[in-house]
Order: sequence, then structure tokens, then C-alpha cells
Amino acid sequence: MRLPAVIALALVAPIAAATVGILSVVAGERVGAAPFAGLVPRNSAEAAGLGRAAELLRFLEDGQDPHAVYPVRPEILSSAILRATTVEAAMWSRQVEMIKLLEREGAIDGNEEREALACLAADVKIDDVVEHLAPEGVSGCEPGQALARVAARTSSAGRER
Amino acid sequence: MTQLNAAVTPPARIDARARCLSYAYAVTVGLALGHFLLGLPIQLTDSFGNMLKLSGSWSELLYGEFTQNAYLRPLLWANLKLVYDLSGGDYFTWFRGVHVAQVLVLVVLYVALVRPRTMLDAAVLPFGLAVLFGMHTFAGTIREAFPINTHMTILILCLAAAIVALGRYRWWNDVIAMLLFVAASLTVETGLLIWVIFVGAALVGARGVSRAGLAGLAVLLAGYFYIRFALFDVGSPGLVERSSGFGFGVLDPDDLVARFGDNPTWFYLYNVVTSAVSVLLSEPTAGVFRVTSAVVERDVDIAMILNLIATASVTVVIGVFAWRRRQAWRLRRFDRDDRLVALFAMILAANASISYPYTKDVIMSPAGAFFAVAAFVALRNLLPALPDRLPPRTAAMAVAAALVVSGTWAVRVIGTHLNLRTGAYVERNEWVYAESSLAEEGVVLTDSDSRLMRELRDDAIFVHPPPPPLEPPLRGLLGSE
Repeated sequence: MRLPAVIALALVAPIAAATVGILSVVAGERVGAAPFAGLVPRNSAEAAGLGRAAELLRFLEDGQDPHAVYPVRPEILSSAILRATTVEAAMWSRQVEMIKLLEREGAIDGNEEREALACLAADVKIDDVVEHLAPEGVSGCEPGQALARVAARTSSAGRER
Repeated sequence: MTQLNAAVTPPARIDARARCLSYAYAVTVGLALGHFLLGLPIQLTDSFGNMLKLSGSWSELLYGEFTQNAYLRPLLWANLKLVYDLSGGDYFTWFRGVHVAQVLVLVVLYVALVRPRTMLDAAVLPFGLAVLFGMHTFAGTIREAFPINTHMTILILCLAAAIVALGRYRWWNDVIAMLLFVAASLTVETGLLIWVIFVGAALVGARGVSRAGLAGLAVLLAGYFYIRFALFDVGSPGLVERSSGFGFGVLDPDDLVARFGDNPTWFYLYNVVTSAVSVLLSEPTAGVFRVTSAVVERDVDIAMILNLIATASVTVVIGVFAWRRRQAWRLRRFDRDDRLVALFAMILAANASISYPYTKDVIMSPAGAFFAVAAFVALRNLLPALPDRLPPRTAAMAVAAALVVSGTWAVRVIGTHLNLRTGAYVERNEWVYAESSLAEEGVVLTDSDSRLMRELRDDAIFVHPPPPPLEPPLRGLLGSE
């Protein structure tokens, strides 16, 4: 083979491979598959944990209960937290806007839940969320307790299994 | 040397298969990009505010555009208003559909302009299109919409102008040239490049437009400046219009005024030079020396290096082409490919000059598109000029270099698509928080404004949910958002 032809091939091969990859994504998505897809949330807790506000709203619109405990895959929050409510999971998105959104959607009921969530935010070390939920500061929190309570659901679920 | 300075490879007989393959490939990659474009909703930023303005009457809209300060863009608004009215409230289908149609028209015009003639040309075409889609200047033509992307409109008009300017003369070319100029110049300021394209092409011997047509264009250009500066006193953007990159960071309008308010000449010169260099090297981008800063701070990202290699290598290829043709150019002997490369140089200079008030990558998108044209032209001429055989080691190095360069552009093209997918999530998240963010900014909406906002918000979140997020292998290399 002549050198110019070989170089032309070399110039095209990586781009052709990229094009094939892109076309496979397009074709896959057109037929309902999802090649090279990242994490797609399966419930409102996963959407909140991933910081996907639009998907979270869709789950809530579809009737998911923000107070219910949902299973969460280990790569979303942590391998130690596999069951969480939507607001609890939202802490791991580290977005105060997400907490405010859930508040607007009626996902935070009363002072008691607010304080408990502020303690969880303090354990997860998200200062702006702590400040938002407890502007006067958190007082009744035992450090690590709120996080341990959420994690306990995972271990109890494991024991039941 | 005789061989090096020889004329460009004589035009081969047009191979119909090569032409069909080229168009088919271009439309396929255009459709693929269109698929990703349809994943984006109508944006909150830049689109919602504009759409509120479109609900008024045509006369109010156009009068306001001719009498505002700093910008003269009445046809931009006419274009938006036309699609807005035609949509009958189905905004997503119409505005996103227009964007996809624009991309398809762009790729078809690209192929029509570079005219692949042989199977070798058809083989090089994917590289040219990868440069077109992968340039950082192209990103702003697809990632944003207002809700029609004006910069994309200008790209289309520029390529159409080049096709007319370099084509065979027909009497209606003069009329088309003038219509293109009026449409582009009254859409956005970079539309003035249409004039540069016609005059520049004539300077290098193209005769697609007659002398009378060129005279007509000169009159229209003078008319544009008369309307802008004398009749309506629109003026031009000053330092206070928007932020701009400078050195290693971005300066806000207040900082710009404090630093350059007395004499902005050096700032304007900086913008012109950095805009031109940005196309040739991808550094700086938007006036900011990001790679240099990263090198200084020892925080270099591999994607930055890949970008630099990709663009610089194409610049070298175009430079080699120009060097080989220098004697012919001195004798003013230009063929079509020479003219295309010369047009790139002229558009680069003119585009950079128009960018004098502030730097923004997308403003340089016409120069970026002609960079892709010049890349294709240079490669299709240089490849056949290579010796058939070289010592094995040299040949291996040449093939490896080609693989590396092509690999960097492959990465950039994937990055372009990934950024659109990321945008699908970013834009929808913005809609989720639209009400609170507008309230924080102190924006007060009327009932009808709120209705439109809810409609667009619901459309983005519930009616057209985002496509799946993408996590391809080696994502870190791809430099997406």
C-alpha cells in the first residue's frame, strides 16, 4: 500500500471509530436502549442523591412519596447507605438548592424533621444546608448519630435478608 | 524544491461515488448531532427573556431593534419572531427543529464548498468535518440557543456566500450576494464578514460575483454604517457591555472600565490578537490563557494538551500548504483550493477585528468553520504529494503522527456530543429552579409571562425528559463539562 493511502487511513481511523461510537449511541437511544449510559435514577431518592432536580420532580409528579425509604445503589451515596428517604439522599448531592426544592415540594414536615435533617447535614459536613435548615445553629445533635441512624437501615435490611 | 512548489494537484475528474459518499457521511453526522441537539430543552438563560419579547407586535419589535443602543440586530429578532409565530405554541418542536435543520444545512454547505472530487477526498472529509464540529469556536453555535442560534445562522450564510463567490458567474449571483449581506449584517455584527468573503474572493481571482455586484455590496456596506452610526445612532458596544477574558482571568465590566476606561486601544488590540491566535492554537480561549495558566500552576489537564495538539497540528498543515504554494501566490495564480485557504486567512483577520470590543469563542465561529475548510483543502493536496515510500522508521513516525492528530480530533468530536448531553441536564436543572432564581434576581413576571414560564418549564421537565446521561470509557480524556 502506498504511504499517502496509509496516512489517509490513519487520519480517518480514529475519527471513524468515534463516529461509529456516536452513531451507536444515537441508534441505541432511538430503539430504547442506552449504550454508554451513566447512572439513571430509579426513584426519587436516587435522583436527589445524584443532584438531578428535573428527574426528582418527575418522580414526585408520578406519585413517589418523599418521606418513603427507597433503595439506593451503592455508587450513588455510599456503599454504607443503601436505603434512604429522598431528603436524606439529597444531602449527598451537596446542593442546598435541592433541599430548598424538596422543602417547597412539602418533603420536610415540621421542626422535628428539620432538626434531624440539620443534624444529618452536619454529619455529612454541608455547611450551607446546615445553615439553611438551622439558621440558629444545631444544638441537640450528637455528632455522627444522624448518619449512623440512616446507615443502620442498610445494616438492618442486610440482616433481614 | 521544484516538486514542492509545483502547482496544486490538478483537479481530478469528479468521481460521483466520492461525492455521494461525502454528502451521505456529512448528513449522517449532521443527523447524529441533531439527535443530541434534540436532547436539549429550550433554555431558561438567553431564551426565556427573548421569548417574552417576542410576544409583542412586529412593529414594536423591529422599531425597538433599530433604535436601541450598541447592537443593530433587527433580522435576528425577525427570525425569532417568525418561528415563534409559526410555532403556534409548540415551541420545542419548532425552535429545536430549526437548530437541527441549521446543522444539516451547514454540513451540506461545507461539502458543497470543499467539493470532494476523488475517493481520497471522500476519505479525508471525516477529518474536515471533525475539525468543523470539534473546534472550540463551534461549541457556542450548538450548546446555546436564543432560542435560535444566531451564530449558526451566520455560519450558514458565510458558507453560502463562499459558494456563490467561488462559483461560476451567473447574473443572479449579484442579487444573492446582496441579499446574503443584508440578511447577515442585520442579524449580528459578524454578518459583515459576508462582505469580506465576496471582496476577498474577488481579490484572489474568483469571479462568482461581478464588478457591479461588488460595487453594490460596497454601497450596502456604506449604507449599513450610515444606518448604524448616523441615522439611528446605535453605536457600538463599549467596555460596559459585558465581561471579557484578559490574561489569566475574566474581567467584569467595572474592572474593564477601571483598567482600560481612559484608553481602551490596548485592550481592543489584545482582543483582536488573542481572537485570531485562539483559532490557530485553541489557546487562549475567550481571551483567557487557560493552558498557560495551568502550566504555570502545574495543573495541566490532558484534555487541554489534546486540544492544543489538535489545533496546532492543523495550523501546521495549512501553513505547509501555503508554503508550498507561495510562488504561485506571488504570481497571483490561484486555483479554487488556494482561494479557500486565502479566504480562511482573510476571514480570520476580519473576524478577529470584529471581535475587538470583547472576546467570546463563538464570535470566532466563522473563522473556525473556514479553518475546517482550509484543513480539508490542505490535507487533500498534501497527501498525494507525499512520497510513495519512505524509510520504515520515518514512515512509521508519519503514520503515528497522523493517528495522534486524528485521535485528538476524535476526542474533540466526542467531547462536543458529550457537552450537549451534559447540557441536557444543566438546562433542565435551571428550569427546576427558574421561579426561585428569577425571584432572587428581583424579576417580576406578569401573569402571561408566568404562564409562558410554566409552559416552558413543564415542557423541559415533564414533556421532553432528558435522554440518558453518557459515561463513555476514558471520559476524563474528553474534556466535557
